[in-house]
Amino acid sequence: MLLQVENVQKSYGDTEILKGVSLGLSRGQSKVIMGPSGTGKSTLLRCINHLTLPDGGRVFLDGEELTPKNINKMREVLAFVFQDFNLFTHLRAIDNVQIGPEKIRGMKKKEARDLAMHELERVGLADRAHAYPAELSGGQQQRVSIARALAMQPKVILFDEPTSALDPELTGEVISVMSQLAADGMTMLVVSHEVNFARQAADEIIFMEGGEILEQGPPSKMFVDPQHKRTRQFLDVLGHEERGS
Amino acid sequence: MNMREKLCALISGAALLAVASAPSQSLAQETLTAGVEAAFPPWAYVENGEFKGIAIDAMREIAKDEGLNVEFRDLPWPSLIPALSRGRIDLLVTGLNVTPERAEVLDFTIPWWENDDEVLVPEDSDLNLVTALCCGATVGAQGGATQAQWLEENLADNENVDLAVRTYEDYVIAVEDMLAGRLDSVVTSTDTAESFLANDRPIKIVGTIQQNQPQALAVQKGDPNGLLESLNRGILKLYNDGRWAEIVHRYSPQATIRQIPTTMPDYVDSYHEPIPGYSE
Amino acid sequence: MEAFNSVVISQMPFLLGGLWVALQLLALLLILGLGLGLGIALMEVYGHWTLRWAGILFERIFRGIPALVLLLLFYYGVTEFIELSAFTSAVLALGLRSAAYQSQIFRGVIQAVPAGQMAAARALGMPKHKAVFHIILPQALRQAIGPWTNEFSSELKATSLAYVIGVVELTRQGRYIISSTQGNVLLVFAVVAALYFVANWLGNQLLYKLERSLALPGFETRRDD
Repeated sequence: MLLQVENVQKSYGDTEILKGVSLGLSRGQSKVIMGPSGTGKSTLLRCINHLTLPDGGRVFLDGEELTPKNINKMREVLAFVFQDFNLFTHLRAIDNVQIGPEKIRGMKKKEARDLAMHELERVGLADRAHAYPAELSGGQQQRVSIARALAMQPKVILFDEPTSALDPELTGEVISVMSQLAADGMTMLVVSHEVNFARQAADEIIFMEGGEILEQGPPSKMFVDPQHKRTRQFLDVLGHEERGS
Repeated sequence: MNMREKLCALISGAALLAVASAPSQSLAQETLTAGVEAAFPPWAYVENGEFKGIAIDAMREIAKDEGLNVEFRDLPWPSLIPALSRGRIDLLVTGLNVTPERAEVLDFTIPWWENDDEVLVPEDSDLNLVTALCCGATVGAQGGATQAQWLEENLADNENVDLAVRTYEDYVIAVEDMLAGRLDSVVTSTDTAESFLANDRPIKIVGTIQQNQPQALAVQKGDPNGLLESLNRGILKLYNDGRWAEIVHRYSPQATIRQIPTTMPDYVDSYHEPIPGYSE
Repeated sequence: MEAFNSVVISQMPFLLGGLWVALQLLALLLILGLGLGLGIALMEVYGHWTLRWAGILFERIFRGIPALVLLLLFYYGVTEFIELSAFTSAVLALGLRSAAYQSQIFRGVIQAVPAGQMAAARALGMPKHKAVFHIILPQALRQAIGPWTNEFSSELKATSLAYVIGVVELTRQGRYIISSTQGNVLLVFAVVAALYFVANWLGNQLLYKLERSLALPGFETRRDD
């Protein structure tokens, strides 16, 4: 397993958000986490790279456990894409992508610049390299933030609802970039309700409810014949919405 | 550097700056700092960037005679005596009146001047010596100066005299306020009054309050730097060889030269025998 | 007009000399206040709670004491232990007070940077101090220029207080002219006021220019000047 999550727990006060969640990703795998809102999907993702510190449980990346000591080193190769992009507002698109390789990985400025340009090309935004975030559409901003993640040459990328802050007509461009990444063999753990992406790109769907994983399986099985009634209800509604929109 | 280190560097940098700009100890011992209030003509003032005045010129001559290295530092009048008693300055060189209160916190040289107080009114005023100081009059004087204190104790605090005292940071502002109609009269020392008249200010003197107020230089109480001997000897030498009269008349052509030392009040410790530089 | 020529023209070099002293004092106290104020703000936002309380205490003390009293305290009090010139005392007294005010400005703009910016930087694997330096401060400091302009103006005026400990700055030079000519109060103070006004105006223009040149698309501040 490239990414191994063991029995991760998190509570806020008396409310148990994560009741001991375990999952694993092999190299090149894409998994999509689905489930009703307030189920702890985003919290799980933030606990995996310790942006939120879990109360219990362990996370291993490539066999090495994440600890407070090695967390910065680990995060360099455990990228995170945010729901609301969080591009650095004072930096142009290219500088947003360049800053990681240059300032964190210590790459030479010229090399970092070339790498950044390459990653922007990969998400189809080479022509907007010198725009500031405020001058880009939401979909473009999210693609820049994916390029920023890619520039760290990560082993795994965590996506936290990458399209839910976007207008419906802008989600397509982001989904197609993500699908291409999955096809290229990137290891991805995605919290998303994009049924199309899940069907085409995911190796497995994980259905979460009430702070735990209810069931998981390949999309062909999950969308057609899920074991739990709750899973069926939820995916049916999603499927209808998708067709309706 | 992490944040804490940066902060430490910053604070120590600031401390270093403070220490670096402090004069070295040995230099401070060699050069005497004479505090003056450089807005007090004819005794001490600044004109075209240079210290001038009777006290300044006399002090320069004394320093030359006695081999002292004196530099002048301007401080506002209310700061002068505290600065001397805290040792921020080594001596006080200005038209300083000898008073019992001051004698308690500093030591005086032999007095080189004697002053009376003059009552000033605007040129076109109908007030006379009496009406300028009673019957609802508002009178200006410099805060912390002997005139203000005298007016308070003898007139303002007296129930039979209806008079209010208003104090100012310096006499120029007080006179300006009088000319603007906010004061009925201003009480200054004789030499200050003469200096205003010499500058053609539209004022007149309506009377003199005889005070026989001695003036002198001052050093820290107990004279820790042993300056009194040089200063007293220097003052006498200046007086005896005629340079004193020359300096005084340079700034105040009409002034009468008093015999030095002038009245030496008994309440001043440093006037008890033997007086260094004078008694021998 | 005659008074204007004889007093103002002939004395202008001395007034300008006084202005120069005031500007040096201003520059040094603002630099001290900037460095220390920024440090305190960072301490208060990111530091351990003990540091945070130390920062707040510093702020309360230096904002609570009148500038005049601080000047006298530094000149007469601190110099019991370290020998300081009047000018250095003024830089320290006014500079530390300015640090207290500036720390408030910086704390405000640092806290106004959205939390997502720090999260994104940390998620890339940036250590906190690097994130503060590369991500938070460049955004926060741009926003600080506006309020900082006010601090510039109020400290320029505060330099005139330094004469109480014998710093011969612009106001004191004006006093010299008044006392050596035994008059001209209004004339001299009008010229002194004009010099302060011009210095303040030029400083503000410079800061506005800086603010505009650093403005980011989507974050411009409109200013009608």
